[in-house]
Amino acid sequence: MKAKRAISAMLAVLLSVSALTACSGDTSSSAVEESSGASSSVSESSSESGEASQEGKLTEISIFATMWGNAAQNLKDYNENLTFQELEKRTGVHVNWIHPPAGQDVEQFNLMIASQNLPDVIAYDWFDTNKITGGMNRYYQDGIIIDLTSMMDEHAPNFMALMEANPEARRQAVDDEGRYFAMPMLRLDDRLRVTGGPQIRLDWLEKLGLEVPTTVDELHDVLYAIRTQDPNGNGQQDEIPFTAVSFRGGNGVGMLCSMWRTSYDFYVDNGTVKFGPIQPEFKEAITTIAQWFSEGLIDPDYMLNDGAAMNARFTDDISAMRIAGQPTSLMQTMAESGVEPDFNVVGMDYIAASDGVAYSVDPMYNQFVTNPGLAITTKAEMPEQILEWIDYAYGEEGNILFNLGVEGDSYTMVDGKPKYTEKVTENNNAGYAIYHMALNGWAMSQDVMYHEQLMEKYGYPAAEHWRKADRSLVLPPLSFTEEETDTVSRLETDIDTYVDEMCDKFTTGQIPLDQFDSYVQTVNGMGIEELTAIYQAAYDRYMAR
Amino acid sequence: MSTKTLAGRANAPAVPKKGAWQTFLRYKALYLMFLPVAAYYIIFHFIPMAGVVIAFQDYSPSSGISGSDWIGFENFQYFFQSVYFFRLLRNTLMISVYQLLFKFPASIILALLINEVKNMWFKRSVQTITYLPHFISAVIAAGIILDFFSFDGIINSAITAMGFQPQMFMIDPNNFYPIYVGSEIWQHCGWDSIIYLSALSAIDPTLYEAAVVDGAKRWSKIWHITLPGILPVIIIMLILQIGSMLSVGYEKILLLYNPSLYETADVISTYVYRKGLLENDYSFSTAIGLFNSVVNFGLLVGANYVSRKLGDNSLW
Repeated sequence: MKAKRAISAMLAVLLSVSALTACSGDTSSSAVEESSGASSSVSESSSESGEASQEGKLTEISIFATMWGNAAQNLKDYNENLTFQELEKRTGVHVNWIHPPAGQDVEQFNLMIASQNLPDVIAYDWFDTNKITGGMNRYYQDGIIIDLTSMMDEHAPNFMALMEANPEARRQAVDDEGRYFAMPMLRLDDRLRVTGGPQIRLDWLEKLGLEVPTTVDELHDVLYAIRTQDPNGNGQQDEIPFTAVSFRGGNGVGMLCSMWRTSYDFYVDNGTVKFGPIQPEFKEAITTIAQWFSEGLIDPDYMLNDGAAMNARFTDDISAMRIAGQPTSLMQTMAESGVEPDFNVVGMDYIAASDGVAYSVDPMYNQFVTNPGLAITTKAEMPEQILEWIDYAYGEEGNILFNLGVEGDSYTMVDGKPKYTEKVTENNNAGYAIYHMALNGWAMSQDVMYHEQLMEKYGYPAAEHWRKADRSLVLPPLSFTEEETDTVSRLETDIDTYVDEMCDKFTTGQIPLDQFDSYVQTVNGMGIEELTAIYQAAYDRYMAR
Repeated sequence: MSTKTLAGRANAPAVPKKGAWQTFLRYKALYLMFLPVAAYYIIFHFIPMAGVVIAFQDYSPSSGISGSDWIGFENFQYFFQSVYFFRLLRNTLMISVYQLLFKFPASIILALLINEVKNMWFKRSVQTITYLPHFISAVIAAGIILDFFSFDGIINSAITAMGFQPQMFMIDPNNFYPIYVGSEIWQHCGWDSIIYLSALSAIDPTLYEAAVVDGAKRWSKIWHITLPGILPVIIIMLILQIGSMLSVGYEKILLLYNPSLYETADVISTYVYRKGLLENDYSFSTAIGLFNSVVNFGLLVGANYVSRKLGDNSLW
């Protein structure tokens, strides 16, 4: 009897355990299948291109490229994209695409590098120093990618002309020793980079008879009026004037620090790199922010919010101000719903600091060079021809092809200006994925012709305000040596963990501000001096490029 | 017969070998059936374990395991010396202990309750309803929890309706343990009770009949028949739970916490996520993973040993 009980009990355990392992086993085996599928296609296509090169003319290239959300939803591979179909007609080069499954790009990239099963070209976030730790130089040293510098003048004339005309972009495209390893996506026009900033419910300000604020005190008075005077007219004091997503980051409460001429992160002050959260200016900033929080001017749930929750604060008639990307989608949603015809969120100038200058600490504003980048691997047999093929996108014809597509198909000329056809605009996001590469991202120069059609109605008027901001505090994208990277990753997570925790606690009043000095001491004890010195050195190397 | 025994004694060392071989031949069909299972575990679970060597390396994917530098215990040292080490360990253990104290008995109690229900329709409905939350993904579960506990959430609406001040639940570190463990009970209590229900159904009904004849009431039946009947399962589940004390799942915590909750919500796995995955420090995360596994293994063996000494129930 007892044995029988024990056996049935064991069976029960086994049953549930095997059920669990079966579930987890499924996912891992399918991942293995997919990854082996991807790597086998790598080897196939690289051998194909090898054959092509024997004939002396480039006919085939294999490219590893990640497709992001919008493209991945609408395309099986980039040969379904109009730009690459037309490019194949013009250049006679067929591309064999290797697209990692969505969300697996990092693993697939690492697997590809580790297995040495390389395609001709790798399109990847080469300029993202978090993903490419130690910089592209490490991949060059390991024999994965080639140094393009000596070929650039002869085989990438279009790109080099752009570099000549935009010295700041050149600084960001090369490494500390002035070498080119990858061809980036460029955002040369100011309007392409300035895509976020402070914005406010203008209709509420008008309703309450208020002006758009320009100083810290004015901002306080405006937010206070919105909190207390019931602009949404429901008879309740439920307005949350300023909303945000967490403290750190581009939509964070910390963006307000620019009003005290400091930042929630590293910034540069006349050539000296400083860590914002331990500066005396920051103490002033966080004192005021905490004061505003206690007055109910700042979203009490800011640390729980995500982007969707922040948008809902506006569409629900709760919030009046935020620092975020252009209000285009917000305005469209409200316009389509027709609920509130007066609803009007507009961009506003950055609030001036005490020296009268309106600063912005948004790092995007100074990013001329962005991802993806295209690097040519050591397996490519005809690197010069491939470089020329890539360089086509930066020329006049290529620029139109990659930004607009084909005339008469995806765009037509109206009054001398290109205008997307309904194919692109009517099935909104799908069109932007299928007919050109400007939104998908490629080694090309993004053009305002594309951007203003995407953003014109609400985005550009808002950006006009933000473009006036002083950007001298913004730190450019830096690259660290391998040794520096080790130290940075050792120190930074711990310091950020502590600083984030304390900023939230100071803001919400859980820890009184008289402890700010001991907080600074703790941060000092965690090695902030060493970290700042590394940032300073990287910044100095950047300036010397 | 006797000659055979003598011959066996003459070359004694060969006997066990011959015996083993005979056993093998006799059960060769069973061994053949076992072969794929063994192959599966060797190929997918044992060979990949060699990868833990990167815990002792400064691993870079481009150089591979053979090309990366060996740095000994530096990764471990760094973790143990981290300013957060004790806080992480404390939070991980506290959450595990609270789960053992509240979540573990909850599913047993639920199974006992369901077992006492005689109305089949009601019993099945309760079972289905309690299983459902288990199938909600962590993302959605965390979204629901945040919606409930946010400043303008349902719970605060109820509080203000009763005339009290609304509370900021999700920024006060004191609230995190109860919220997390409570939500775990809500999500998994029903699912976890399945195993106890199946054990309950294996109890011999004649025992109950005999007890009724002896005049036992409901409580004494539960205490003297039901609970001892499922005790082996309870002990085994307890040992398995103790063996995963340091593996508090990171997904849900990662979705629930925010910097002002780090004090109680930051556990080893979330720290590894921020450090290892966001900063690509593979060696470091492997080192912590190895540390977790070793401690878990120790706890499992320890719990099993104690259980075997105290009673006769154990995993092995």
